[in-house]
Amino acid sequence: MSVSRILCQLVFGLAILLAAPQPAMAQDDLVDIVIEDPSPNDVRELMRLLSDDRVQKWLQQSAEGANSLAPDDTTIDLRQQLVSGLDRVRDRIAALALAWQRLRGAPKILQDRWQSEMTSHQKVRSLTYVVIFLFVGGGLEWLYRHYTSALLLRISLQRHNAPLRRALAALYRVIIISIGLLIFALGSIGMFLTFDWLPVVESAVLNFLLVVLVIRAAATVSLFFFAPNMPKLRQVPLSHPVARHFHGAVLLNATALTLALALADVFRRLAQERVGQESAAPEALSVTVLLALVVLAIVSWSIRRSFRVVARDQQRSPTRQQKFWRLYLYFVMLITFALWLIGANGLMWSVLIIGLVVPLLRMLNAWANHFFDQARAAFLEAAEQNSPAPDPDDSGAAESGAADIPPEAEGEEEETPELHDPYESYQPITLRLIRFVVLVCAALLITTAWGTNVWSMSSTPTLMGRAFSVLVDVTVAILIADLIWVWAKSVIDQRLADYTPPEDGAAPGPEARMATLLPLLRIMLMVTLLLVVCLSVLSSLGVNIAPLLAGAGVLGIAIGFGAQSLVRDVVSGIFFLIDDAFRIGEYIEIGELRGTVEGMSIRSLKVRHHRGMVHTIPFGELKQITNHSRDWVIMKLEFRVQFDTDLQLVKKLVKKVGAELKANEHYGPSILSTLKSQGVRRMEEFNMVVGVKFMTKPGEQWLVRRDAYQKTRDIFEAHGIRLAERNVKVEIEGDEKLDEEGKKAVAAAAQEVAAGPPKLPGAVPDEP
Amino acid sequence: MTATPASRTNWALIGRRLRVTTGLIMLAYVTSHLLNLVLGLHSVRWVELAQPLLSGFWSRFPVSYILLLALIIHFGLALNSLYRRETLRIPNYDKVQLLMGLAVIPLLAPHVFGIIATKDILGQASYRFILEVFWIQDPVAGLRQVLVLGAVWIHGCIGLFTWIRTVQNSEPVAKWLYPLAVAIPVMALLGYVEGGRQVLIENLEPRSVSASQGGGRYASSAPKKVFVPARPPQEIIKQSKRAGNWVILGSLGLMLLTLIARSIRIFRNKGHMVEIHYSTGEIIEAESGPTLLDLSRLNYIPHANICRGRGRCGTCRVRILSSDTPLARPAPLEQNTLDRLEAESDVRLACQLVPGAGKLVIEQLVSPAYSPGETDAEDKFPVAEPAQ
Repeated sequence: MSVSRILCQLVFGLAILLAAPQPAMAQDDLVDIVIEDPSPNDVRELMRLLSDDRVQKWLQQSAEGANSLAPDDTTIDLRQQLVSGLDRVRDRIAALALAWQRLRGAPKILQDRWQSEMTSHQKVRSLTYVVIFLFVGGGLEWLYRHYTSALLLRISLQRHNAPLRRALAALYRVIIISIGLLIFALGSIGMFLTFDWLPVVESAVLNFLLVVLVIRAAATVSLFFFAPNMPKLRQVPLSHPVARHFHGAVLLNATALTLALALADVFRRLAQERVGQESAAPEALSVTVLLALVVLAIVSWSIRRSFRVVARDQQRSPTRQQKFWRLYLYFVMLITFALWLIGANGLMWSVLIIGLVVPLLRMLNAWANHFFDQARAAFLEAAEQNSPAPDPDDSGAAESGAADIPPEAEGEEEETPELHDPYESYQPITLRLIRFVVLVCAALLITTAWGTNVWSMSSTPTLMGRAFSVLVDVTVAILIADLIWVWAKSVIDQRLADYTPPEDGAAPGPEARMATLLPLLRIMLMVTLLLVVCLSVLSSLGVNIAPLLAGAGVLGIAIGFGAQSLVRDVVSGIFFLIDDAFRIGEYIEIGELRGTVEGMSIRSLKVRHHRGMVHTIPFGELKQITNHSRDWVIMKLEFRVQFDTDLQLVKKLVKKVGAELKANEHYGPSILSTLKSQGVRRMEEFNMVVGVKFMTKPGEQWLVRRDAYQKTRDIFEAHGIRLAERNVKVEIEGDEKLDEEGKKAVAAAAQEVAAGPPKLPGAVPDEP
Repeated sequence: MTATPASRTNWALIGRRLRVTTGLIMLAYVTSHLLNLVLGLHSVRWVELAQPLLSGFWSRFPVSYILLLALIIHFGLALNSLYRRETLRIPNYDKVQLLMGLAVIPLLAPHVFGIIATKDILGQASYRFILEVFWIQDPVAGLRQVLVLGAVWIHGCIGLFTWIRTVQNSEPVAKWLYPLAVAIPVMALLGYVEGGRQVLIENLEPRSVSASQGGGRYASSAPKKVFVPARPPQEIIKQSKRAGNWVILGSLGLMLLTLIARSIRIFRNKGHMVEIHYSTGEIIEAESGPTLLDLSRLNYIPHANICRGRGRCGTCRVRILSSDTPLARPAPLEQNTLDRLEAESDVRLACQLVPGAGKLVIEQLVSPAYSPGETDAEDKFPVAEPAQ
């Protein structure tokens, strides 16, 4: 089978896809025809034919030809394969020799065939049809373009600093243009379907239409990257002339390739055997080879010219690297052509794809890196513009990408973005992803070229097929695992790098939880990935991994029973962390125990009491947790004053103290609601109880309480408000004077009364 | 060159009006002709019924001469503007319009003379007969006809829409014109195909005429003896062919002459270097000669121009901040537009302004993304406005 045939099949596969409505219509017509049952005579005839040896042999052969995957003899060894391959090459070379002999007469014969297909008038009429359907497609597209032109203009002329926005704008532009192309395709194909064509003309016209569509699609893709007229939308770091050149080169090569394919296909169809004519296959082959030579020349010329244009643009002679790549590309082209010539299609595609994957990967990587560099530069620039730089030193520091912020900016940390690289985690993932996609696509293409199905390949009996399928399996498994691992690792590392442990006394942020959980996750992920990759590699090598999995399952169950409480600890620990019940650095209360969370392991929690003792508590033992470090804390204080106190004055004084507290430079900002009087809370035997309260951030209440007591006492004293003391008024009936003895007795009794009932412990916890 | 602008540009203003008027006349003719063809979607008979109304009208005595005059004037103006073009690296739209316009006369001449000859021979040119010629006897002529239809229509539509965009309050009309601009030629072409199909079927059935028999020319299988031609048909055909060839060669020669004259003019006007500073920060250096708008475009600097450099819309206007060489006074054509826009004295139209040697500092006054009928465009899509 010749390569042109494969290519033509490709083209025609597309063609059939595009022309799908037609067969459907044809079927509709067929439905009306009533199919009668075969007569007994027919059946007998069929039986006779089937029992004929020659027919049987022919059926067998055509079955083999149709499905080379499943040959009848199941064991084809390497040698047999080689022999059949060599045979094919020999046939091909013979065909080439014949084609060479008939080359001289080829144009005439093909022309005769073409002439015999139809009269010249029919030809011209067909051409008229072609012009009309192109006009219709073009007209519809023009209408669409008119309605979108204003949008397109605006997208093209926006000033894009961030490369992401630029890429998006270029993408929108390409999408708009592609929809236009689609409308063109629909319009012209629709018109194409309404006309009546001669069979050969139909295929030729369809080929032509496909050529137009493919070239335009290639131009659209090229427009996305090179944007020859819009430097602002260009995705690649190329100067104007170079971008224009590459755009032109893409167009030229696409045109040459598709035209050659289409023509080769038309010739092949013309050359097909018909009644009364012998096959003109050698002639078609010779013309096809000529076409291939032309394509080769054009491609080589474009390679040569591309390197020259780039070198001229850089204004220096080509570097060694460029020379190497130029040579490399020539080499790949030549090998491809030679392999095509001898008819080794699978090999040809493999060489072409593998040969092109390397430069393609390099180019895509360079593009992605350029994209990220630009994004980074734009980000830094934007950050620089946003932060009001007090002196030039500052911006200098920002330019160097230093993550530390100058001290005076510390207060307004919320406004100034941190100047770390925001794309650090995306870049490696993107590069990996590009590599992954390109390699997988290449592998798929190669397997398609070999005419095999990836999914059924491991069942092929040939050694090569087996080895290849194992290779593909292993590569894909490793690539996927690598992709996931790099992504997870960079995300986790990024999060961990962002996390700064809270300073002493400061409340820990929400990131503290992640800081606990993430390293754990990373290890688990790595182990899982390694296991999965190992297992899938083993399975693709043919090792039966079911017992392994079962064994691991049994082992897992055994360990699970043994380590039930351990498992409970681990699992409930994870859930506590997910619930966000506590974080490192928070002050919590678990039953009797109180303290600051110092650390967590996979199984247990370490809590340090404020007097220094460390409690270790397994997560499984935690029933309920009281967290004292969340959001806010209300603290209530009481003052006992005498009954004759001026309550209005008290209120005023408390308010004043509150204002003072709020104004404090150290803890003032952490007071959420400052000290205020709540009036008389209750009356007691000897005094009134005035309540005050305030609300602060957790952990700040102790300091505020200390000052609140002190300042209130001072201000009360200054205004003559006396705090009540327990006193006992002893009223003595009559006015006889007490003697010393009597006075002592009275004092003792009064003291006993004044001591009152024993005091209950306070509701608030001790200050840590 | 500086001495004559006043007298010349007065002509330019008249020329511009003439071009639009003649163009509209011819477009109206083509449209009615195409509408006639659309009826072919139903049957050839309908086409023939409508013929006196839609096509015959244009071939009557005064109208046909007006049409011819319009064609000649339009062609002459086109050659003139081609001669005056400083650069041929023009936007695609203009390029298409120019090429299509140039292609019309050579493509159309055989048809026109063929119709005239047919009338001389047969007394009338019925659609059925013409369709027979186009589809059976001379398909090349049919193909040429389709091509000329495309060329005329594309050329005319580009001209029409470029003009209509600058006409005040034209949006409600323009909205309907765009779909029509596609629908009319498409339906006409379909009508042409359908008519051709009918003629083909009719021709094949009763007479079973082999399509390749005639070898080509009109008279070979023309129905006979309905009308007695003044001269022998062969002579008429020969003469019409000769006339057609003369027109083709003549028009091509005129185009060639124009191009040669233009290159001589440009060669003699070899310019100095200009340096243009835009207020957006871009700086370009170029050889003087082309207009400011062309210079912007050649250097890929976006510049608004709704009327494509015809000095009509004023969207390309710039403020001259400084210029090394004194600029020529605005010509009447430019002054007209500037007056209409009530522009200040330092504002000029980039499409008419030819920068002299040295440095020129300008500020674009209209956003390059401006498009008619979208006044709030800038709100939705913040576009780089020239810095104040």
